[in-house]
Amino acid sequence: MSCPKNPDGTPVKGIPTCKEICEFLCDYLEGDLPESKRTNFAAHLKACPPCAEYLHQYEATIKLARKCCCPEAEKVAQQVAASGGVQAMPKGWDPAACDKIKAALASKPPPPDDMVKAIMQAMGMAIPPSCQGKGHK
Amino acid sequence: MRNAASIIARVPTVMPDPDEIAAGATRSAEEPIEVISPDEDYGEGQLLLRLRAKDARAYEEVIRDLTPRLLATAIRMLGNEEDSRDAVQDAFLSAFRNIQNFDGKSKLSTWLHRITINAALMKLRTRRRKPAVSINDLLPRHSDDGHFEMPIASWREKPNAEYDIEMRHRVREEIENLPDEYRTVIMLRDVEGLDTAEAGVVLGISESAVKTRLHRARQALRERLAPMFANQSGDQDSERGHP
Repeated sequence: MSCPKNPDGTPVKGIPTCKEICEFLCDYLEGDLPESKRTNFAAHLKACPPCAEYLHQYEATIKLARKCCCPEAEKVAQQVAASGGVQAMPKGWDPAACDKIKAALASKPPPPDDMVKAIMQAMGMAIPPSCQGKGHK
Repeated sequence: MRNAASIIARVPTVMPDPDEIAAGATRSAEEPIEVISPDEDYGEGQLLLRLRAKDARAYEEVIRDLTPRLLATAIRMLGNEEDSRDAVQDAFLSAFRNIQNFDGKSKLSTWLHRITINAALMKLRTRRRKPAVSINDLLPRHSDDGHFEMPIASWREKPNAEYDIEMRHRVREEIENLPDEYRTVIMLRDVEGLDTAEAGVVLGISESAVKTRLHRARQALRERLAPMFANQSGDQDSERGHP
């Protein structure tokens, strides 16, 4: 399969080219395309493996950026690494399970006493008794 | 056909001060301040009343509750803890000094998150910037008839890749290596979860410009990540291009 074409090889009117697909991918994913354009966009993606693959990779990139910068997921990653890495994870292991696990793994950070003290001082307020006598953590 | 215009990275020059965001993001100075009853607005009405009354315990509660999350955001933006702590402290001070202007139409944590992002961006502005570089080479190229010039190599699926330590490190590294303006927009939209309008306010650019910049940033990052997912089987079927 390839881009939708007329029998003479010319592009089908109204169906976007691969270049147009790439240009408007963000709008497509965010639902910002008008319905008529969205339908033609979807028709192209259905018929064009390169564009379908590009869309898949574009979406995967967004997901990776979000997940790989998430500190909670970092804790899960460390646990996974300690257990032999992702290769050792059970087949079919649902990544969504990580979202449940990460909450359980998230350890409560130490109370930011120095932050409390600095802000209270800057605001001209009394240092709370809970912070007195404690230094930077 | 390639885009004719060269894309040169520029760090935005217009960036609102955290105090401006804290003071003006939710209401203008001329508007009367609406008193929030304790049982409305995300259940934070009572807390807001205490903050406005300068209840020290309320301030302490908010700082202790939100610092970890805000610090994580600042570290993602700035990359080091010292600057990040300064940014978070600046954000708290801006917010508390303008708490009378906060109308409670968003959660306090959401408001502080936005102010922290702004404080972090202010810090970034003071740093030595990376030289402006073009990302043209990282964008897809198309022939005159609109098809991809090069086949799109399929990605070898790596289940749970986001939990692989090495993969996480490399993805963060590739984001870090993007020119400042592209890295920042990915952080705001895809990592911190701001919507297009919010990112536009923070960056001082139009929503349209945010979308254009974000799209190019994602395309560039996709290209940089591609070698990590390359299908190394050598199978021609792994490359999808037009016949």
